[in-house]
Amino acid sequence: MRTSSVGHRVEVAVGGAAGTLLRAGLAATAIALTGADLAAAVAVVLAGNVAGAYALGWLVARATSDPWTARWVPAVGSGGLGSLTTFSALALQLADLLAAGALLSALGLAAASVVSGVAAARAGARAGRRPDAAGHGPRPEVPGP
Amino acid sequence: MSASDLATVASAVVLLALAGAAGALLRHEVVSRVGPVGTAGRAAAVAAVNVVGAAIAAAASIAPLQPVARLVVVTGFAGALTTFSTWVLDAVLAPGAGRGVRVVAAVDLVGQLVVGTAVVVAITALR
Repeated sequence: MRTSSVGHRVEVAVGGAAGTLLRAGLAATAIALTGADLAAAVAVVLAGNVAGAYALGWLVARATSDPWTARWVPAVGSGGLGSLTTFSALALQLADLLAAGALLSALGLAAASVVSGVAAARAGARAGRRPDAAGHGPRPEVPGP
Repeated sequence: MSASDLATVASAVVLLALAGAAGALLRHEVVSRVGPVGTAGRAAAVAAVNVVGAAIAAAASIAPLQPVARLVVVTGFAGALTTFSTWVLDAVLAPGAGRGVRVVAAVDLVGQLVVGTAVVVAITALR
């Protein structure tokens, strides 16, 4: 069990605000370009989620061997990437597709989200891991995303 | 854009940022207290914030709210309370914490997405 310092909480909140504004900005841009098209909204959420999963995988893996990177996990990981990516928007979009009778599209979006998200997180973690990370000195404590 | 339109947009951005900060902080408080990355306790905490956040977003999407209030609750608070990146990364790291791959895939990933979507479908059906 771990508790956060006040400083970590402030970093999470600031990162959360930034990640939320970036996600909202991307959604607003998609609406401006396409006129509130559901497919565009789906693409924006999916792209943000997959990119965020890759970045978080990289960050957390690199943080295990790099104290400087670990320092950024609360703000960038828990706050920024945690808020850039979203589960609720995905669930709302799946419900919208089901309500519209587009069962295959809903299944496709669900499968694409889970498969590409897991693949991106795994690829990010692999890229963030340093080849010489194992067994070279103490690992810094990583606050976790 | 008139000065009053500009003020409306500016206040919406500020409220969105505050709601995002609150959602992220609440998620962090719940998730960071239950255990290390990859453990079942942590997966349960992520599932809780994700399903509750999806329910909040669904309720706000059908509630008689002003557009800015709906944006703040759905996109700001619920969007930041819930997370996709931590959800999938925890699943990737779970086998390293001794959890079975099939259980993680079936319960943590598929199960959570099915439950979260079902909750949204049930709530929005009340419209």
